[in-house]
Amino acid sequence: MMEGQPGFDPATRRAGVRRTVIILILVIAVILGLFLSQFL
Amino acid sequence: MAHASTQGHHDAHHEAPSGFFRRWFMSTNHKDIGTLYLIFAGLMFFIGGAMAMVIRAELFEPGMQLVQPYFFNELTTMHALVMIFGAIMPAFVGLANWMIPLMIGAPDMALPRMNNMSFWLLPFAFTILLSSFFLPGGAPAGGWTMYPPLSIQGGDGIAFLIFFVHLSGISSIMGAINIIATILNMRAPGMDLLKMPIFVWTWLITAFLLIAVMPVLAGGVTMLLTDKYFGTSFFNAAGGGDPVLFQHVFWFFGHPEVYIMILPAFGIISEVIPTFSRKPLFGYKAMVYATASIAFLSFIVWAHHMFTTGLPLGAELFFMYATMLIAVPTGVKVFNWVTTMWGGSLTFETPMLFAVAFVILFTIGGFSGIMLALVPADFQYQDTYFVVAHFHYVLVTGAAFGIMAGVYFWLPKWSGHMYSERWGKIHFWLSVISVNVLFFPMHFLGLAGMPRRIPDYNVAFADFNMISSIGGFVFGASQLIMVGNIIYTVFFAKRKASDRVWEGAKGLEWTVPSPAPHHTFSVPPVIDDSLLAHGDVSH
Repeated sequence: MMEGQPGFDPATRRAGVRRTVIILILVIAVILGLFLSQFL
Repeated sequence: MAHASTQGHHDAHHEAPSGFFRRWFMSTNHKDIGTLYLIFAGLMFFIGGAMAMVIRAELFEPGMQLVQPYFFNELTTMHALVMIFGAIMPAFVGLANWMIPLMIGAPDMALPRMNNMSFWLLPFAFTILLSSFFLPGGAPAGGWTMYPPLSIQGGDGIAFLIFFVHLSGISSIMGAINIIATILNMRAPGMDLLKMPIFVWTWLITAFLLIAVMPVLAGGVTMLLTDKYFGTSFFNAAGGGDPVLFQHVFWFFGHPEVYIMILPAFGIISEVIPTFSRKPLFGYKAMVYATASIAFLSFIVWAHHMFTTGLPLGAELFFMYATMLIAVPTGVKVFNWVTTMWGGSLTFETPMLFAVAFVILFTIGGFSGIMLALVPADFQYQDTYFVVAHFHYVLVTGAAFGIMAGVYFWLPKWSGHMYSERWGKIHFWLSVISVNVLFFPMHFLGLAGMPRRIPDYNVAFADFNMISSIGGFVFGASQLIMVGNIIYTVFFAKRKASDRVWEGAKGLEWTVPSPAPHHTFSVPPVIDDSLLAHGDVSH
């Protein structure tokens, strides 16, 4: 069984959402950075 | 699991905001935004469809009848852009908005205000795109793939197209971030990842694909913009650039994009077939892993769109074999759908009819895909109507039929009323017959050598084109039946839908009242494994 039940506490949820969004934005920045590094 | 009546009583205290403007323009509610997405997608479906009707009317017989050749090229380009970015993708985002929070027991999306912005960027993006028809140089006419040098040799329509891609790309990325954040953080306690409905899984994987490839497309089209207007030579051979580089960049986005448009349809079909087979989905975990495998493989097959550009032999072999490998996880899915139906108590309501048609017809599109993956054969098929037949089987009888199955499946939950089964079946049979009349002859045309994206053709291709056009007109007209059925269901239908709607339906979304209240799961539901569609996967 894959673990990873989300927290039920609203504050935990908010923190989780914030963490996820920051990680995803960093991923996008890395992809764009890799892309631009090929041409600049 | 939350009891439906308790849930409804609790949520009845939170009504939709009064006032048209506040409710629809300032909405942060996942159901209202889902509805907006679906209405927008429907509108775009008919705008793109109208373009297709003109294309098929022009191709009804050899010679030039209705439109000028340049306008024909504008139509083929815009038809693709409107259908891909305006109809298919927003329809899936609409279904995701409506159903993901309901399926995982969340009160809303994780980022409701961003959700509003994701949607409202789209009408502006498409106003920009469609307004390019009125520019002096006309709309973009170099194909939806925007290959240079052709695409930047026309008027300023390409600048409008690039700005459109930026806006709709931002919308897609924000939507994808929202979906991932929702699924990873907002699930009700007890809704483990491997208990989630397959539709949620397919959307989670699709959202990662969107995040990975949309920035690449945005980068590629920006380079196209600077080549045309700012004197760079990224893709200009005369300045030391390489036009084939654009094709690599474009298809690194473009091939995962194909899966962005089909994985959520796989999810819908994986919900519909078990419901009307009254059996759990066969091979739940295999379905999840197959979806992830397809997503991974989608990143290493892009150059199969470019076999005739002069790739090194080693590259052609790699991309050929990698492409054929996709048949394995796709085969797992088709096998599991068929096996789910095997021995089930089958009934064939409209959603199930579309789902069964999907399994058969999408597989035809998959088979022609394997033919196209063969390098020596592709040299023959490249840029012919065989390719047009292939991707329309995948995108119309695949993605669009998946959306139609989903709309009929969930419409009673959204509206609280049953649609007309009689008219649903009429819509299905007219669609499934006419869509084959429309697209199947295109295989023969392509094999006989008819090139795509041309307004006129040799008389040798006349008969199959006429048959195809007749199929197109019937298919286009029969979609009006679906619109009529939806309007009837939402505004006029008398027959109330029960909470569970379908006898074989399982999952959290069927525990809330029909129509689903404006707010649901304000109090997280208690998960009872036996009532989940996939509650027994750990045993």
